[in-house]
Amino acid sequence: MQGAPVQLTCLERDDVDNNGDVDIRDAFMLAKAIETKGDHELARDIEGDAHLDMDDVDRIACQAVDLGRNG
Amino acid sequence: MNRFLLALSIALIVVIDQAADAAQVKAYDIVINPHGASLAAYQVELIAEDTHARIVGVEGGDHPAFRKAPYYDPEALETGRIVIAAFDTGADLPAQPTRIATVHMIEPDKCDCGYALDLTVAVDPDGNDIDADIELLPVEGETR
Repeated sequence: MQGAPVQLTCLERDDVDNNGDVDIRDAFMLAKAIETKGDHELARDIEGDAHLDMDDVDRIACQAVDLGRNG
Repeated sequence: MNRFLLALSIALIVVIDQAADAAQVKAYDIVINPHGASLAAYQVELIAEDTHARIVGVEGGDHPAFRKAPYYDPEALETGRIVIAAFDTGADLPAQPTRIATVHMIEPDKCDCGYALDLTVAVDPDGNDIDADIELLPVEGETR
């Protein structure tokens, strides 16, 4: 019997380094991973469009500086 | 009628001039000293202590790695609080004190405005935290 599917929250999905917070380090680590490994080797598509690219990096960086999140 | 319009125009000019004098535009450099480590990414929060001070612009820094304007929330403009951040995945990174950004403020006239500055992220190319200091330096000659 399969367990119930786990729905990751946006915060969990974008917390690339799993330190409990989304900050510029997450965007940086993802950008480095894309540059060095290529997106096909990365396990997850953060943006959810089945293609991991610099748009995902930008989106995480924008979250990092979002005053609504940092309030 | 012409005299009335002339008087009204003069009054308007005086009011506008006084309003312009009630604020000053100032710029502040944000400088990070990574103490010899390569700075690959940073995140900084700036909060104006005077509730009337407003952020009106942000520009990038001196080093090529951080010359582009950093990430920031456009909602921060016209408020007194901003989070700015940037990274570079290249090999040419600053290891000495470097201006990573400049913020432009409108402050109340004659305000000796203070700011709280918090360096929340400073990492090396491997994503490891580095021991870095941060400073906010008023730009000379930018007051008007």
